[in-house]
Amino acid sequence: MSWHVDVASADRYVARRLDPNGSASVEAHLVSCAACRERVGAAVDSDVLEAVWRGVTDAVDQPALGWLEHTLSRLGCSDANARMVSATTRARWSYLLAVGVSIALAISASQSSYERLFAMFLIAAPLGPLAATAGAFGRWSDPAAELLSTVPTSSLRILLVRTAAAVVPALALTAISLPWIADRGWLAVAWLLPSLALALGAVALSSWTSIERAALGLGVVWVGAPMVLRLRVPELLETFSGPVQIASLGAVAVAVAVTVLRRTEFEWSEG
Amino acid sequence: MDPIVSTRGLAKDYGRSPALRSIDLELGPGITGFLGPNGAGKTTLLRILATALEPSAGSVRILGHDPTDPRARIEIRRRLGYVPQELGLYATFSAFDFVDYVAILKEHVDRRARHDEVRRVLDEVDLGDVRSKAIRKLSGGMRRRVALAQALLGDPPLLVLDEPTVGLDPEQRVRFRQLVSRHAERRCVVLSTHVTEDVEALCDRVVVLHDGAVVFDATPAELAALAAGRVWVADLADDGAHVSWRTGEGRYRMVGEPPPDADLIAPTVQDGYLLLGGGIAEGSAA
Repeated sequence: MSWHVDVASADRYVARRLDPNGSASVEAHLVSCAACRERVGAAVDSDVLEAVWRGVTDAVDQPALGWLEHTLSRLGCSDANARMVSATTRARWSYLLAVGVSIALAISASQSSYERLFAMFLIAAPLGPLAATAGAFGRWSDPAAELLSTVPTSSLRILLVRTAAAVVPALALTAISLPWIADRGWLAVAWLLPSLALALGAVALSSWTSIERAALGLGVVWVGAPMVLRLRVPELLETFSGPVQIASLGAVAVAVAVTVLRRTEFEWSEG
Repeated sequence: MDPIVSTRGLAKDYGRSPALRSIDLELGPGITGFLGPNGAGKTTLLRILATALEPSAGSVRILGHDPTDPRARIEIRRRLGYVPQELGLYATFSAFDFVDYVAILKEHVDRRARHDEVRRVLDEVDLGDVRSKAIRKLSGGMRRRVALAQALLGDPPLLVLDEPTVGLDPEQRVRFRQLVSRHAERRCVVLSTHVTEDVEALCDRVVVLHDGAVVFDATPAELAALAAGRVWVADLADDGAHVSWRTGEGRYRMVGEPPPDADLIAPTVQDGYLLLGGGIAEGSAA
């Protein structure tokens, strides 16, 4: 070591008035010279040092964002919403899987010439999203559900963020599949609105009971109704083209209204 | 001074099964331990105090608020720390990420201040060095401490801890006691446990629940005193004892009604609790 940091350079470095090259040179020297390090270190303002260390630890502790959280953050999503979505990966994948299965069934059923098979598909298809809704928002999908039911953030907000996280990719998947299921005309997508109505209905009913029980009850009603009404295949297809859609739209509106009106009830954990 | 928690005639039913029956309690600063057999109602009571569960009847006031009022419930939740029986941690998150997530949901909005707070609570539970490690790689005791760390966010005046020492080794248990007792100086800590040693070492007050009702409510010393003159040791087990077991020294330690010439020893909280349980079983206590 042939030189030491002179007093003038040290003062300018501490005051952050030394040029970048000079600063780099001083820092390189400080790494290997204990005497200068002690002298310069003692002169550094403790508040500045504290701020620098906070910045370092903050950078080290910055959560390692997954691709989804990272993307959502870049799209302007808040920390809270992005983290809520990424924390429930299990729920999102179960939802997408169920919708994927429904769409695969839609493609095969719409290309089938058997009317009975197609009618059965229209009844069965909404059960996938309904089951996925129960799975996505039931207690099993979020291990921290009990803990999160006691935080000040609204449970309804968490529920809606998770709903959006599940439904938006499902809608995208459905849109992509449309060219393959269009052979049946718009009847091939006649299961979508009932799916939405059943899923939202289960969410609304979960303000009274568990979402699993709500989904089971709605599923039984949905499957049982055509049997109780003794609808034949042509009647069933006709019903799907009109009354079922109108009723589903009405059910969606009622479910949304109930969810909003009973929003505080979502804040109790289930017994 | 107003109590931090007070209940009047608090009851909770699951369908037709009563889980809690007319509980009257007032809790202030200090540590209150709830003891009782499985199914006694400890977890149900703690979940109500943590605002996770709605009471079926009676009144509850927590931190001056009624938790059945939605706005008041949020106020309580802002000043509450809760460790549930089932920890429910995200295995893929690091300890820092998980506590940070809970901090976000607890309305710690400013990122830098929030990260400082997360570091503070993790340091407090001695997890500062492993904060970047995935939770799945942490030991059971460390996971318990992660759960405790999130409960300490914001330095809440009420801590509700459901079976907090399950799975901790003796050393971790002592560290837990140190940590909780430090926090209890100005705050109300409510915990449920099966470990009578924890109650003896930690609690100012012990409440014994049985079949959804309070059957004892006093200090741990008073619970131990229930067994004064009713704990003895002998070379052979006495059929008249409520409970007896062979100790490591090869003698039998017994709790119950001693014979006249019994070698009496000092009772513990466990002895008092066992005697109370025996009395309940025979319908002679409470």
